[in-house]
Amino acid sequence: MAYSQKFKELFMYPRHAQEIEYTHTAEVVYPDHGDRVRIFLKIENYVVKDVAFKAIGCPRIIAASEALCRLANGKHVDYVKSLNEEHIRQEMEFFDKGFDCIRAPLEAIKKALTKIES
Amino acid sequence: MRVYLDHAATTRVFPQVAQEVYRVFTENFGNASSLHSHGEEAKQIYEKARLTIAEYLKVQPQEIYFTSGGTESDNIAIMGFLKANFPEGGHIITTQIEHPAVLEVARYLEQRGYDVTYLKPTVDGYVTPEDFKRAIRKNTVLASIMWVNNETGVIQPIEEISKISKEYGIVLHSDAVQAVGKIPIDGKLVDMLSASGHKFYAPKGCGFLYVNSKLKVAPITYGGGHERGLRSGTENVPGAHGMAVALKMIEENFNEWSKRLEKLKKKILESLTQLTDYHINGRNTVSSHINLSFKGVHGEALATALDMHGVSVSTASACSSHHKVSKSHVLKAMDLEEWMIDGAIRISVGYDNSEEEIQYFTEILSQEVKRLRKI
Repeated sequence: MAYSQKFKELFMYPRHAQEIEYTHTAEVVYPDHGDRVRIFLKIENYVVKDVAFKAIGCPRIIAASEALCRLANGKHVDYVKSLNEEHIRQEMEFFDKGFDCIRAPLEAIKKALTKIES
Repeated sequence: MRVYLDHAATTRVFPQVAQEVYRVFTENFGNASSLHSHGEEAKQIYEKARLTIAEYLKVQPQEIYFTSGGTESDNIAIMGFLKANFPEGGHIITTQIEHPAVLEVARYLEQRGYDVTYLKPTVDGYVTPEDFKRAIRKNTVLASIMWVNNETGVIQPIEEISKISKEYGIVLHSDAVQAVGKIPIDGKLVDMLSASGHKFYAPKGCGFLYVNSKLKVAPITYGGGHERGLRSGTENVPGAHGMAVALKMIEENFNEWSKRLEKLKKKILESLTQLTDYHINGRNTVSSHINLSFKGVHGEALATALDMHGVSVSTASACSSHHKVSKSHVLKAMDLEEWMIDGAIRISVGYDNSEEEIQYFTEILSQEVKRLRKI
């Protein structure tokens, strides 16, 4: 599969695959894919102060998780809640159709943010 | 460094084979069915190739039919045999771990009224002769059992199954695409055998089918009546010659090359001792294959990471663009745990790999397994 340089960088050198002190977390599993992703968020005054992920899965779920973390870090929760698959794909520079797995980290972050009303 | 470790998918044509094929393309280009001298020259090369291949399999040259590859050989063998002998139906025995070139034919035949038993493999990846014997019915007319599995490299008990087939008078076909060129083959153990050139360092688009001369097989495509009426289509002389040259080279160097391959495989297996929680999928495998899974690492992620370091291996389980996930039917049939199925990669070493390449691969493998596990 031909991946962009940006995709390769996200997949091979993820900066957010680490342990952090977090206030919110949620996991999404796609058992049919063998994919599992957990997002960790440290939120203060509706702002994402830190974000991290842990994932087992295909290259796209790892790259999508890292892309999402980069987009979410330092942002207001309202902005994070507004993120969609297109934002992730732009950040990943991955535009092949299909590949539901890309949505998993997005679902996880939204699940983690459900209890925060803004 | 770029390292190719996917020889089960296809092989690099031996340089000597490529030279020989080029020579035939440019010098002996005549149509082997033409009566003039150009045609006659091509015909001689073609028939010599048939003889070489027959000798390799220890069968008669008139029992070798050239085809376009494994898929066509499997289709002619199964469909052609049934068409000629049992057009009204009957029972067929095959396995759950066959290549789609056999499995899809079996499924099609089921729709056409044939009964098919798909033998389940053990957890180690082989079907047992006992299960084969138990599956035989009064109306069993054909068995198709692969010689070596393409994903795991597990050698199937063809010798024992051959004995049982002969005892019960069942015609036995074997898809030997992953066996030819890797292990010694006695063609007489089976009644029909399929092979594909590009799996043994010959060009793509050529293959052969061995059919026991006592067997009646009908064509499944129609045309000019080439290959004694079984497989019409202009003779692929360069392809046939390429296969013969490649097999001759393998035969002449087999002891040395297979020992070297064994050594490379051992080096890979020894390197795994630095890692934990891995599983080798399949036992009693050919020297070229290692199918293994690392707990906590998805096979596609590992194969992609290796690729980004210049190393090509393959994975059987992957997401696809069609909103579907394909998981290995072979590993599922073996009842392996989910992590073994999701995590499996297939490393297939070839006669052209060097120790330096394997050293580089083992270092990258260890590095990437550790990295991906931390994510």
